[in-house]
Amino acid sequence: MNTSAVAVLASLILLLPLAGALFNTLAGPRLPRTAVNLAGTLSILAAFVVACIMLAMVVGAPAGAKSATAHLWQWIDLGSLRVGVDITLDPLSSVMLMVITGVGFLIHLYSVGYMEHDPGIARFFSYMNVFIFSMLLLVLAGDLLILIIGWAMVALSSYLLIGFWYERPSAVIAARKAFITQVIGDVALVIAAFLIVLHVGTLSLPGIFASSGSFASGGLLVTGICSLLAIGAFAKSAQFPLHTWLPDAMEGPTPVSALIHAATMVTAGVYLIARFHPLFDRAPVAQGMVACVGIGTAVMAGVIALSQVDIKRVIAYSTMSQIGLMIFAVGIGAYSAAMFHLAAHAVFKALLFMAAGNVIHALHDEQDIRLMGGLAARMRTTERCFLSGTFALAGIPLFIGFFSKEGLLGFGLTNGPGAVPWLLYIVGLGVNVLTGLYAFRLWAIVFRGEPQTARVYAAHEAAPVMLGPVAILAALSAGLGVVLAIWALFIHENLLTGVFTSFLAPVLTSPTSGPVAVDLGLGAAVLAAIAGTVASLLGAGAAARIWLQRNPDAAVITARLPRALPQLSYNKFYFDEIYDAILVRPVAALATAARKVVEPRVMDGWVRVVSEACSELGAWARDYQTGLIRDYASYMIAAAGVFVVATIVLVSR
Amino acid sequence: MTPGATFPFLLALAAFLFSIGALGVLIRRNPIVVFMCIELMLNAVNIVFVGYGRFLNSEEGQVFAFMVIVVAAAEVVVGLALITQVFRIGRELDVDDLDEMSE
Amino acid sequence: MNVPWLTVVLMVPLGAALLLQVIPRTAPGLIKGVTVAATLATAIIVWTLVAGLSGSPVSHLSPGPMTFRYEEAHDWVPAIGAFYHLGLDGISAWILALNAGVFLLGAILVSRRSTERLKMFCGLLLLTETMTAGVLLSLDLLLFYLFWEGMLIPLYFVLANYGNENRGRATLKFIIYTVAGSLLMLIAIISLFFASGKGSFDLTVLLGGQMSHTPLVIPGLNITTFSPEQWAFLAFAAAFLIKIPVVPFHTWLPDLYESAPVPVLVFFAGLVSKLGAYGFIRFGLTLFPDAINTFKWFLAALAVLSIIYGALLALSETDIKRIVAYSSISHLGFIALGIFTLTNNGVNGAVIQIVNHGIIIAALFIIVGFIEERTGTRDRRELAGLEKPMPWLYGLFLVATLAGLGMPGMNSFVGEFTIMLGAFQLHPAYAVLSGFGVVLAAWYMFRLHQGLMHGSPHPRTANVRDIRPAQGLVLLPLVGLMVLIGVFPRPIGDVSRPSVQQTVAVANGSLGQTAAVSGTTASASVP
Repeated sequence: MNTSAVAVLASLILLLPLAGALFNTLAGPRLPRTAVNLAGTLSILAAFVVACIMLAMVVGAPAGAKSATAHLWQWIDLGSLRVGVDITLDPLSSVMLMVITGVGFLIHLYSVGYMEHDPGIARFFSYMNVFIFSMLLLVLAGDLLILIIGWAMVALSSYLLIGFWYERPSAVIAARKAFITQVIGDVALVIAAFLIVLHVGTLSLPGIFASSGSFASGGLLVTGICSLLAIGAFAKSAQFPLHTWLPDAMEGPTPVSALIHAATMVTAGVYLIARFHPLFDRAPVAQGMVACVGIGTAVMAGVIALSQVDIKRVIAYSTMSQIGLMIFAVGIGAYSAAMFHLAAHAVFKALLFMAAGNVIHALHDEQDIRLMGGLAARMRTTERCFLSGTFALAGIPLFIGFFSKEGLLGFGLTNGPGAVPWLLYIVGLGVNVLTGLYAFRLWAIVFRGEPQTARVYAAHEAAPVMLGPVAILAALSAGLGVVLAIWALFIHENLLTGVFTSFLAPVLTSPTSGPVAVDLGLGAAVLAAIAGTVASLLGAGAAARIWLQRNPDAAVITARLPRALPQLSYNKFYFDEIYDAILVRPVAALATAARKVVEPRVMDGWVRVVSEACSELGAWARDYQTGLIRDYASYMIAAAGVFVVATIVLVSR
Repeated sequence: MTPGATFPFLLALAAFLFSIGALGVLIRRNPIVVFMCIELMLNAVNIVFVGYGRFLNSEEGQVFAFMVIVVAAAEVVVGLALITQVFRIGRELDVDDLDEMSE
Repeated sequence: MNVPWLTVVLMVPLGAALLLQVIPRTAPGLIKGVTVAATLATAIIVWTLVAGLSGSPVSHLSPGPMTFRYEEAHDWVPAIGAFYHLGLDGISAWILALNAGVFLLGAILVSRRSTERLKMFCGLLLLTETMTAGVLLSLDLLLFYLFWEGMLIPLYFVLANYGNENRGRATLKFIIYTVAGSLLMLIAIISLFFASGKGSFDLTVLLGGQMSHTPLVIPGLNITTFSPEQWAFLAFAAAFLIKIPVVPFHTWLPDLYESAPVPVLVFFAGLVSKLGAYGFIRFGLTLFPDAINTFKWFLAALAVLSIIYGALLALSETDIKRIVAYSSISHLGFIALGIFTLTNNGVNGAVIQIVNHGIIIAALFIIVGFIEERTGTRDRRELAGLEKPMPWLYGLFLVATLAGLGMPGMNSFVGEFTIMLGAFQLHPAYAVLSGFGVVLAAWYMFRLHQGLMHGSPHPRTANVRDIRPAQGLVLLPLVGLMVLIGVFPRPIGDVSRPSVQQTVAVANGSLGQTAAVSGTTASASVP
């Protein structure tokens, strides 16, 4: 590909959202709402067009030249540390570009309706556009340091948007919590960057990967680097143990949850690990850790999602669970499957969030699902779209989630850490059951049954500007999987993840990469798909019996379980309380102790000791300053005497 | 007698005068007498200067003696003025009573 | 024509200060005008010099491993080998540019408000500028010491005469602290003069370990103590550690910053405290290479302690001005850490961060002072919801906050990243521990920003007015620089890199061969 064309297009795609943000920040508050809406959405639409051109460039590029790095300007040059503002366009980043701008545009469009009564619309769109800019910078970065800048800036825009309704104390605290968790990840990334630059002497991504062979496979260094990168990814992707910020992030407006906390930003961790696969391939221990954390988070979040009552938090936990599956996939080396699930998840999760947003909007900001019910009759289109998303989430055949999720899990059958690689696959099947359960539970409680409050009776369908994007995503969620599968037939790849595998192959199986995940044989793939589908259907069916037919009723089942289990699930395994007790409070106590005890007693203490010693000395000397001439004269004469005697002694020696 | 022969006696005289002066400064309480004792000490030093000047055959000793005389004169002017002032405000002339400077 | 530009830089503020004395105090407009014009003229000269630094010829007045430009050398007290020797290099260049900038800013701030005893204030401000510029330009130890101590005289009168009611005590504490450290340094300078045996106070002559490395033994007790070189280094270090300040020598700072008025803080916090760091780079590293290599582990540990301890203090404080003061202890710890790594990355990062922190702390103090002026309180707990009435201030404060917490993409990230990289080269533990400081910084900076700006408005804050455009214009260049340096930090690094390489080469040169080794390194690495 032509690097100058890449540079121009990349500058364009980065500057468009930035221009929208600047326009809305400076001029927005004084302009009519329509102008703000247009500036906010059209800039992203234009970026989407540019992204399509870039994708076309990648697709049209001859094999072997699918990756191009453009150098925009030299960021810093300190001799041993040289960083350029570099842009890398390759299949991996172009997939991310499509997801970010495509889904991003639909969500911007949706926001026009969702935020129509909010006075801060200019601020909202400028933050959203800054987010798109940051996310694009993250995925286009051709240098680790520039990636870190994008990485931190998405956290910043997430912070700004979670705290968008800044008069709510809970939103303010949630925003800060999210940001600080992200900073922990940033620091891990920065330290990983130190290890890398000190070993290979460059932070440029192509440069790092070109010398990835210099890392001893399984060595301590590469394991350390990958573990640190993974910590960064965990913070961003809300994986255990840095996951507690994501549910609280639902304090932000719903389009924010859809864009940042479902479709794009939280999946950046998956992107990061896939991007750094040449290093991860050489660090099996770190890979195993990533896979275990991913699948563990998937189970944990699935269990928590079963008992939550806030509609957005249920979806948030399901996001966490699905990203856990992606993290599991990158941990076992199934990068392309993870990227496919990332894209598919962006479609159906944004859909679920926006449909939930329709519900919340219709019920005037009610989010408790126990107060909903029976909405299907009143919001028919929304309900159908939501159902499409639910099917995709649960992995019902022919929906996009079926292809991506069963394909992803299938890799677990033959790949995985340790002596028994398929052990995590069995857990993955459990996740499938859980997914079916919570997905249909949510749909059943919100849309079926009897209305629980008067508000529900008054609910009405959302405006077209909000329904449009939802419907488009619902169609994609239902149809895209099949289209891709047919395409896969034509290029003779496997039906589930084939298109992505072949498209991303230039990046993921390049000469620099290490050992890659073993593709399944046909038989194993069919077996895996069937097993996964059965598990999903099992969960979905159970959910239908429990929450649709109420036979047995949910309460009865809860009563039969050990008491601790529902308690743990409802209280999110008490992570917030534990962190508060072992991290937040001790640091706060330490800070108070530093200011109230250490500072006055120790730090100022030694100064005071010195000054008091000087005063004491002065007071002692003052006693001899009687003011009496005869005293002074005697001191003088005594001193003269001492001087004479000393002189005589010294001279006569 | 050669100049060298009288020199030790000169030094002894100076030491004697100086000791009288120092003792007087230490034990007398009347500021005027203290002053006179200081003059005595200064003159003892003058004798040493002049004596050494002659002994070493240089003029510097005499020149310094003149310096000391000038300083002593200046000192007397300031000191007597102070003493008169103390007397005028009705204080008893006793150096042990004059300790305001320690405050 | 060969203009002695560095002398001009020193003379313009000094001349203006003298000129002020003949202006009647009944003409405040004229006083303000002269002050702003003088600082502006100095700034323009300095910035032009800095911009042209790389292109200007290297003068050969001082042969040796370190090169300076715009050099001037004249006899001053030739009997004792003291010279009027001025020079500029990549390290002092940007700090001098910052110097000119903060004093210009201080002058502008003063010109926009009514100040009691205006003439005295402006005169002292200009004198301080001459002194601090002299500190940055002197290449002769005695001249340096003269400016270093001379700086305290106008500072004392400024700090003791302007500010809140606690200023007397705080000023006294500061002056005694710094004078104590400086006197130790004077002793070290004199002993260095005698130990070198070269009869000169010139830095370029005294480079590299000139003093004895034999440890002193206390007679009778047989206790081995440090060598004379180490004692001298510790004396220099005491002066600089107090000035920066590094924990545990920091206790003068919070009280002083709390009591001083904003125009003073802009140049005091913005520049004066950086001179300690500059002194370390210019003199600590080059005069005592072996001693600093011995003590760097300990000093870097103190710097890390500053980072974390300052952050903890900021975390529990409620007075917003003191929060900024404590945050600056934490940030100055980063600068100190960079210097003590003795690596190119660390020292370059320190130079970059000196400039950055000067910009950030000036902006934060202006903002905090503005909030205090508008709401009448400095208590974090009494302030909330200012975003709605003050959207412009909110935006500017947000950028300053982000810069303050080391957000990637902002200027301080450049410095902190390179400093932490240097610290990592020294020992990974230093980088990891300072990473905790970064996390804590995010915590306290955001709590400050959110606490003031977010939440439902407090009665006290509901009806305040936003900043006026003129006030915004004062902040705008600062905020713009925060973003600009974050996006394009290269100019700073390009200017500082060659000089830092020379300094670090001297600092790491082995005993005895220092001059020769670093000379070749420097000439090899500087094209």
